[in-house]
Amino acid sequence: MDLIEKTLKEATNFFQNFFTTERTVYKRGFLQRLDARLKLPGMLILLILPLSTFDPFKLAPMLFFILFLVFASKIEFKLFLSRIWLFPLFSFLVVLPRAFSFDLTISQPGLIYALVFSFRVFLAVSILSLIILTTPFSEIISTLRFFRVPESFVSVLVITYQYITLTFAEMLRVMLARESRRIKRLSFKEIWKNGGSALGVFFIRIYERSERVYLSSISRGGFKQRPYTFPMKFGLIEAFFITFVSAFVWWYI
Amino acid sequence: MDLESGLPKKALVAKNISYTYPDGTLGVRDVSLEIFEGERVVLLGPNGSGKSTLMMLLSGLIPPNKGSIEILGVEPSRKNSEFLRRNVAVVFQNPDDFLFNPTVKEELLYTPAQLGIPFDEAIKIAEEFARRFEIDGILEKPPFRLSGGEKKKVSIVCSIMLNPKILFLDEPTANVDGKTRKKILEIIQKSSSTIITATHELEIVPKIGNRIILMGTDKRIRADGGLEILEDEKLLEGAGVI
Ligand SMILES: Nc1ncnc2c1ncn2[C@@H]1O[C@H](COP(=O)(O)OP(=O)(O)O)[C@@H](O)[C@H]1O
Ligand SMILES: [Mg+2]
Repeated sequence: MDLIEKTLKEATNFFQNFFTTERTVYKRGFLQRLDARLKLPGMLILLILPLSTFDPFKLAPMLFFILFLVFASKIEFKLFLSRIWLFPLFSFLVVLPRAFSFDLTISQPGLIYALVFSFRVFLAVSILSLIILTTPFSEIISTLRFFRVPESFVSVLVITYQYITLTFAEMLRVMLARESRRIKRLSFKEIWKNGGSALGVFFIRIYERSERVYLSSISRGGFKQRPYTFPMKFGLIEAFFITFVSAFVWWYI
Repeated sequence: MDLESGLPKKALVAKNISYTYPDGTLGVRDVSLEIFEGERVVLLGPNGSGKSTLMMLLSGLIPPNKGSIEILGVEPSRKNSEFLRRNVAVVFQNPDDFLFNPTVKEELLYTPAQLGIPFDEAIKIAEEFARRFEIDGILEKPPFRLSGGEKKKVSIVCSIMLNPKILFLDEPTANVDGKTRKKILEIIQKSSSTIITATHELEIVPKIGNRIILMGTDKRIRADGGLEILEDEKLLEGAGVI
């Protein structure tokens, strides 16, 4: 039980942190200074490219570019890794069974497949994380609107974001409250029984809270997606970024 | 003052409003009241007497099951929701319900963006208020990582920034330290808005208003009058505040 609850708490913290960026987003690094209207499509290309190949020699250079972006954007490497390590590990564990043959010996091509697969996940999540770590949420929204992404779609994204932060914040509160009031260790059967009702209460809380958050957004002007926009920048940083992304595209084709 | 008639203008009118929550719990029962522009009203009542529910109703956020409401001369509806959002601000009792943006800065700019106020103007106002309320050091933090008092301050700044005509404050001084409490009381005293404050703390009533609407555990209005209500122990006891 303790293990389950601890894992759950770790996971909650992990996901909450994935969307928390105040330590990196306002630093004046490379990606932070790059105009979001270039950064988002460019990074999207970099995210899609590695998913088109299993060739490790094509994937490896991407790693160096990502490392460059991490350092040039003044993101602490430890913080960066702590954001993403769970995803490749998880995908490795998921595909690992495919590396075993019927007699339970591990096959080399199978293992390589599992490794390359999780490496691709690592690259994709790294790029996604770099976008999140260096772009204020309001800027992501205004960029989507700039590219004429329909308002209804953007709204769904905003609401999803609110739900995610809300859910994790609430989950952490519920778990801490339970922990602070737990007196004796429960048997497994009791946990199973209580767990169900705790989960039910949790979902009701999320539901009611989201209703109140909805009222709050109404009272604060509504939830039209009309964020502030700024004139497009084009300087050395932008030119450098475009060159690199183009080079990658050319190398992949 | 209404120049034509020489009478003070009505900010809020409620006629026999009742509200029951979807699960069947009674929120408020048969409330009628009139509040004039510039008035400082205290909604006083014990926990669960329907103060928060009444604020949601009076600000037009939830429609009553029975009765009618008029805010600044209009009935709340989809059509005039923009007018209401420009003129009516609410500070929720629980900041966790109220704040939903990724950073404090984005919280402060949320309403100006929604109302189409130019960025340069909005950021100027936001920064000035942030300095005045000493939240300028936490502008880049996510609201859910703040202390209770900080969250409250951020919520209040979000609401008063654009100088609303009517301001609802739901338990603004609950769970805040002495210094913040003083600041909040100061805002209420200095503001020119019509302010309705819900509280269960008797001591702060004279500092935030000169009219008391007393709610009882039966979710009805028990009394509506001046500060002399604070002297009437029997009345207060009956309502459940002492
Ligand atoms: N979302 C809800 N669903 C059901 N009942 C509610 C809800 N919110 C409040 N209530 C009930 O409505 C009544 C009035 O609550 P509230 O307006 O929050 O009182 P106060 O703000 O004076 O403490 C209480 O009995 C409370 O239990
Ligand atoms: Mg309340």
